[in-house]
Parts: sequence; structure tokens; C-alpha cells
Amino acid sequence: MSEQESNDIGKVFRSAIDGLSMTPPKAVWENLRMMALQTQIIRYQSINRWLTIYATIVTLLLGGAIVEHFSHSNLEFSIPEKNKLVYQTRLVHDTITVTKVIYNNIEKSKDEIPKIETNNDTQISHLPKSTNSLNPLVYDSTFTTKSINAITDSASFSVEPYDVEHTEVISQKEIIKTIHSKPYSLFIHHIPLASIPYWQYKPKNAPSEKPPKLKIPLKNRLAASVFYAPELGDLIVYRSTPDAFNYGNETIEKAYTWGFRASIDLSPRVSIATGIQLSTIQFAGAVRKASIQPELVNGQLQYLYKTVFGVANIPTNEMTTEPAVNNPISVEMEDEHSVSFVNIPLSVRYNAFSLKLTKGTRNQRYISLYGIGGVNYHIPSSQLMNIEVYESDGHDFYTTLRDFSNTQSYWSYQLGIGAELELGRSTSVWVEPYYNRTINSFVKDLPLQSNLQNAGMKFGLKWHF
Amino acid sequence: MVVCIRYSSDHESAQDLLQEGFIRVFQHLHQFKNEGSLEGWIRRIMVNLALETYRKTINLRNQTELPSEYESEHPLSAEDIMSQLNANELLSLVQQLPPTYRLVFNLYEFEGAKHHEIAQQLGISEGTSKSNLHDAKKLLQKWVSKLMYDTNNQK
Repeated sequence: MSEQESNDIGKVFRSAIDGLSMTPPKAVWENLRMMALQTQIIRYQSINRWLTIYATIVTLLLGGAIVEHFSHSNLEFSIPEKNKLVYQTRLVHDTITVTKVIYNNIEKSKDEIPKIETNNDTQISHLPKSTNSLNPLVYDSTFTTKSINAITDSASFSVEPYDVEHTEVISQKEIIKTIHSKPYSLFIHHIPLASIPYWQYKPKNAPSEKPPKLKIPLKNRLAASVFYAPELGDLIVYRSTPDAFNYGNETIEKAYTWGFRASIDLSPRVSIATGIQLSTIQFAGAVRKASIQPELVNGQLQYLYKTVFGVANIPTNEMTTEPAVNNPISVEMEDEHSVSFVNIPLSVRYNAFSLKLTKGTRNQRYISLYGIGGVNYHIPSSQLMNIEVYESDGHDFYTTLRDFSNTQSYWSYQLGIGAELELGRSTSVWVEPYYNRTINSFVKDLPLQSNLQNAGMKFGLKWHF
Repeated sequence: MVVCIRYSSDHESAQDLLQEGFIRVFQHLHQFKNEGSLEGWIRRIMVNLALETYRKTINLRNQTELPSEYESEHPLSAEDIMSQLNANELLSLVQQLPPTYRLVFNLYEFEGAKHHEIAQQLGISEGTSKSNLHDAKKLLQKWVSKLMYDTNNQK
């Protein structure tokens, strides 16, 4: 065989086979679908494993904090059975609180009175009897703040008879604490042994009359924050039929959220928060240029741009050709391609630990560590996609798709941990890494389910009222 | 599908290749850089997969012996072949080629690869690549002649 003949045979095969097309058997597609589903299941299991680890860490953190909290609350001191305690605490001035502890029927010497640590920041003195005339039921946040430092050594005080509780009173003391007009703050509740020990005594014959409950005015329990959160997002698409693979292969290029958060403290450790957020996701398409055949919708031929976050109808008013079955158009995706959601969050925050960053009583700084979890309700607010359309006659034009169908509101859950640093009397900054994942798909009536998962970091500025 | 058939010895192997290739396409779709056509990118994945499969199963260096029945008796023109045989028949002839010849023939004729590129991809010398291509074409020439002869006799 000559070289010429050899080249000819190659050319013959090339020209005959190269243009040949063959549809794969249906079994191949079925196998592919099964493989795709298996891949998705494996991916889902992997995500679940990480979620479990994350949830375990948060649970341990919160659980540890709760155990730590209650273990301090259950401190018991060996107070003789016959003793009776009388609690009297009152506000003398907005910066001065008087806490009076009266021991009745103490049969032991004052040296045997349980010892409690003394904090240098607390100023102690004996008040004249006349202060009793002040309203003892006035409690406010100032009390709470000052109570932190009310760790005293009762044995170190001189015991003076005080006959206000009739005859059996053998010791009493009144403690005046001055503070520096600090407002109510969440931070200082979490210092170990921060609570007034008197409230924690559990003598076996505890007085039947409980000390009055601490009430903090509503406005002092409110706080507001603004925040910004860059996010790393991942789009999870579950495709149930081969047709679902016609719905694009977008990936998340950039995502961010900013918003307003209002919170109210239910207790020194627990608070709930809500607010309003705006999340924006910018997409990138794996396939930038695609050929689109018109489809019959409500009796009319329309060009539909199918994405994993909804279907848009390509406007035909700028087209020079009529939509027809054999008249496909080419559509090229431009850079601008984003979806925005308005989110309404509802979350619960648990303050786990608090650390004092500075020494002394002035210019104190606290940092608080907390866990937060909750749900978000997302409402699609806007969708924007710039495309260039190429028609079969060579005409092309740019257009922006805004009206996407098949999208729906969706729920997501969010877990996070955070740190809040006190800046001043009523301001603090916080940072909060979090994980967010949709509970239901944000598209409906399509052969696919689109879900999002984000990991982000919120940076916030908070005002305490 | 045709690409997979060209690189396989039978339809079952072609289906396996297609299936595995598409899984790889799904897994690496995010790596598609829009620098060429999607079709070309998918085709490249299929070809690479075929190459990998051959590397795993075939010792290419030991597959250079030409079957004894390769001598072509009658020169054939392109027009004769095209008029008497259809594309599917030609495709089945490519499938019958020994694995090494089939690979070299496909890479050279259909993917447009040069001999030094084929040699690099298969780990053979450039001369071996040229020789394999030449032998593959001789074999095809002979089989085409035989097929045309059989077809004419049946008529």
C-alpha cells in the first residue's frame, strides 16, 4: 500500500465517522442517574458528618456552660440549722446598693460564721439605722451590676445587735458598694462566683419567704446591632431526572449578608434575637454560552433560560426573528448575575463565658463568648441576570432578565458561636462565625431541588439601651 | 457516544467508557473554563479516560506486532469505499483494530494529535507511533477490501 493510499484510508474513515452521531442506550442514562444520586448521597453524608461534628461542639460548649453555671448556683455553706437568714437589699442611690444580711439564732461565735471571699472593689461600711426607711423593693440593673462584687467576708465584720427582727438577732451587717455608674451589662454576669453568695445559701431550714426576684427594666434588656457578613457559599442541587440537567450549572461566586438585629435578654445568659437581613448571592455559570430552543408555554413559543434558581422568559420584543421550532438562539451569560433575599431571623443566644480583660474598677472591659442558633425565613427580593442573545440571522442584543418564575420563599437553620467585646458603657463589637443551610428548596415545580449552604463571619456593632 | 465506540472494542465497553466519562464530567464541571466548546471539553475527557484505561490494561510496548493477514491485495479509492460501505460498518472496523493500533489511529486521525504527542501520551517512541499508524491503516485497508468483496458477492 502506498503512502497516498494510506492517507486516503484515514481520510475516508475520518469523513465517514466524524460526523456520525449515536444516541446512547436508555440504560446508560439510567445508570448515570443512579450514579449521580449515589454521588449526591455520599456528598450529603459527608456534609451531615461535618454538621454533626459542628453541632456536637456547639452542644458541648453550651452544655458545659450550663453545667458550669448551675454548679456555682448550687454552692452550699454550712450554716447551722438553727440559723435563719434575713435578706434585705435596697438601693440607696443609683450608684449605691445596700445589702443587709441578718443571722438569727446564731449559737456559734462569729468566727464560725461561714467565710466568704472578699473583693477589694467592694466598699463596706456600717450604715446607720435610718437607711432602713428606704424602699427595700427598689431593684434595678444597678443592683445587678454591683452584685458582682458583693463577695464579702462576713466574719470580718463587726457584729452589731440589730433589733429590727425582734429579739433573736445576734448579727447583722450592711454592705455598701459603690460602683462607677456602670449601666447594666451582660458581660459581668458571667464572671465565676459573680453572684451574691447570700442569694445562693441553701440552709436546710431556709426561710420560707424567698428574697424578691430581680427585675430588670425592659429597656435595659434591649440591644440593637448592625452587621455585615461575607460568606462562602455552596449550591447543592438535587437533580431527580435527566431533564434536570438542562437547568444550568451555576456556582456561587460571591455571597454576603448585612442586616439589623434586635435582641432582648430573657435572663443574664439567654437572649432571643430577630431583625431583618439582606442576603445577596452572585452566581457564575459553568457554561457561559448555551443554545436554546423555544418551548411551548401557554400556547406560545417562548425562549426559556433555565437556571438552578428559577426559569426566566427571554423577551422577544428586541428579536428580529420569530420564535420557531427550528430557530434556536444562543445565549451568553454576562458577569452580572445575582439573587437577593430578605431574611427574617429568629435565634436564641446563650452566653457561655465572660472574661474580664482589665484589672481594677475603672474602664473595665469584658469579652463574652456565646453560642447562637435559630432559623431564618428567606423571601426572594430581586433576581438579576445580564445576557447577550445571538439570533440565527446574526442579530444580537443585550438584555437583563429580572422576572424569574419557580422561585419560592424558604427556611434555613443557622448555628454559630461568637465573641462580644465591650467597648464602652453602651456599645460593644461582636464577631460571629456561623453555618447556615436551607431546610427546603428555593425553587418549586422543577425537576430539581436547589439548596444553599453558607459559612460566614458576621462583624457587628451593638448598642445596649 | 461515537467517540467512546471508536476507542472501544465493543459496544459494552463503549457504554462503560461513556458512563464513567460522564461521571467525570459532572465531577469536574466547575473546572470548565469556557475557553473552548463544552463538546470539545467533554470529548477530551472521554479520550483521556480511554487513554487511562489502555494504560492500565495494555502493555503498549508489547503490542506492536502486526497480525499476519494484513497484506492488502487491491488498492481502493475513497469514492468506492464511501459508496459501498456506511459509517457504522467503518466504525465497527475501527473497533476490530488491535488496541494499540486503534488508539494511535484514533488519536492521529480524529483528535489531530502529532506523532510526538502520541508517543508522549502512550510512552512509546515516535517511530513506533508512526509504525503503528501505518500498520493500522494497512489492516483497515485489507478489511475494507474484504468487506466490499463480501458485500458485492452477496449482491
